[in-house]
Amino acid sequence: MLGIYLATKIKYYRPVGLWIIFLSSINILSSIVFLLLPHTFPYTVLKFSELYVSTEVGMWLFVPVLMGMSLLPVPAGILSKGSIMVLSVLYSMIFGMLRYIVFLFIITKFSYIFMPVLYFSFGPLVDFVYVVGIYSLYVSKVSERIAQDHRLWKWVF
Amino acid sequence: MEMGILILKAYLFFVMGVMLLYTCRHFLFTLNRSFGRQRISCHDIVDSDLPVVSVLIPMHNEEKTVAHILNRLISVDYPPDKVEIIPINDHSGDKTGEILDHYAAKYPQIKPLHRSSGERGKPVGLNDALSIARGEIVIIFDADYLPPRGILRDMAVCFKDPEVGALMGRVIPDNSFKNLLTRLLDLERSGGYQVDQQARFNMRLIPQYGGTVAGFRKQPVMALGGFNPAILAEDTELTFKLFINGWKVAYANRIECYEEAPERWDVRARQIRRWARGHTQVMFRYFFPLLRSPHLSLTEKVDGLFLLFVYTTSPILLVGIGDALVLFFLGEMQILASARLSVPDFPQHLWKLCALLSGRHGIGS
Repeated sequence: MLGIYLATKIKYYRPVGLWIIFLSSINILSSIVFLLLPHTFPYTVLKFSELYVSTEVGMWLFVPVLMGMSLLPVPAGILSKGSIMVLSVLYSMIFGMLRYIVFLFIITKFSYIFMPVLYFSFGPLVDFVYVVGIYSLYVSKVSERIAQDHRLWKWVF
Repeated sequence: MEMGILILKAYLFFVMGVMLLYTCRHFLFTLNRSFGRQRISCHDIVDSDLPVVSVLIPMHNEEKTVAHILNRLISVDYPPDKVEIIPINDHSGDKTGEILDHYAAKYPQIKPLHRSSGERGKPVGLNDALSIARGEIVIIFDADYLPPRGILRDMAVCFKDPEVGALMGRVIPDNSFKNLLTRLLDLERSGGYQVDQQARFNMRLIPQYGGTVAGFRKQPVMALGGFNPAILAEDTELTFKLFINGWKVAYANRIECYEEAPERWDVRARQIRRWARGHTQVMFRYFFPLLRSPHLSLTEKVDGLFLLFVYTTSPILLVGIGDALVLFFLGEMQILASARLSVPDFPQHLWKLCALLSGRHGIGS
């Protein structure tokens, strides 16, 4: 209801409202499955952990490739680009582990119903948000540093 | 059941493939723009033999902006006898018409076209204006744009290249720091023009005619039937129409013009919805003509297909989310997990799917 209210009534919060509607829809779907076909839910804590960890490992392998390709055209030194790549992977590992602990806490203390919404909305797929965030922050800092050097902006013209 | 799961998994692979292809395309553009040889348009040519130019400005209820653009256009650096300005007053209910008449009385080069009956819309208005325009080159601005002094000259000389059927300049938001949305749109415009459009021009692919800060030769456009009122993205249609018939669209990065970017999410959503519908109309209409055209190279055709299908990626992704949810509830989400997404597994899945689709269930098991 909050999502629908934000999406329809307050224009500025429409993207937030739509996101809440998306989360709620997954949760409603999960609740229906648990109400009607509880025996068909395929995950135990162990199986969910296996899915989470294997997806997260995939992300840890993918993040340096993605960052490497994205940083390639940026006019900055190899050391600083390398540091950003290492920072991204470290962030991914620490954040991924902390998130896993939070997920396990929610699932074991509250309900399995939250598994889908945790996986799809706050799980490894959301890692792209901070990857893009770190990249953007780095690129904006590089842009500020080289703003006065017109030779580096030649391609603009 | 097994076949259903394989189809769902195959669809997820398809979604990933589509995303990967578009990512690679944009990455190639970025590399080209960063390290490749840059191609410039003809706007550096100095020529006194300038063509007659008709400037068309479609407008609807633009009483707040009309004076700004007209003031800019009457002071442009272009021979007065070779330019005419045709504001298209399309069913305005405010004082747009009065303001236009006031300017027309003062400046003979301003010849407003008042449309108060018949169908409304940019393509119809442009067709009507084309029928009275005397310029061999037609240049179009939206009413809220602020053209700089030398823009007509810069644009007109680009048509010295006989291959060029249309020309696109660069749009820059004037209100970038208004709010989050305008800042995001500024980034989007920078990427779209500075990187994508220029790279496509460099690589001799398909730069897009964008319908504003843009120009075209009147004769071929009229010969190709003008603008189709049934199509919402008349600019995209013109791009494909010209390329398919052997003309090129040039992109000139230095021809800049400022615009007011949407400041509200609902306005932006309406804009995107209109573009998506129009683009999809063009996709259905020009898919086969694009493939069959003898005037286009293979790379132009491939880029044209990417351009035509760009708005189908959103529904493909949306269905992909639904697909992933179904797979999750079936306990088959391992497709996205690194441990199960090993390279040797993928051909096995593909082989199983092919075997099931062809009814040969025993194969591969």
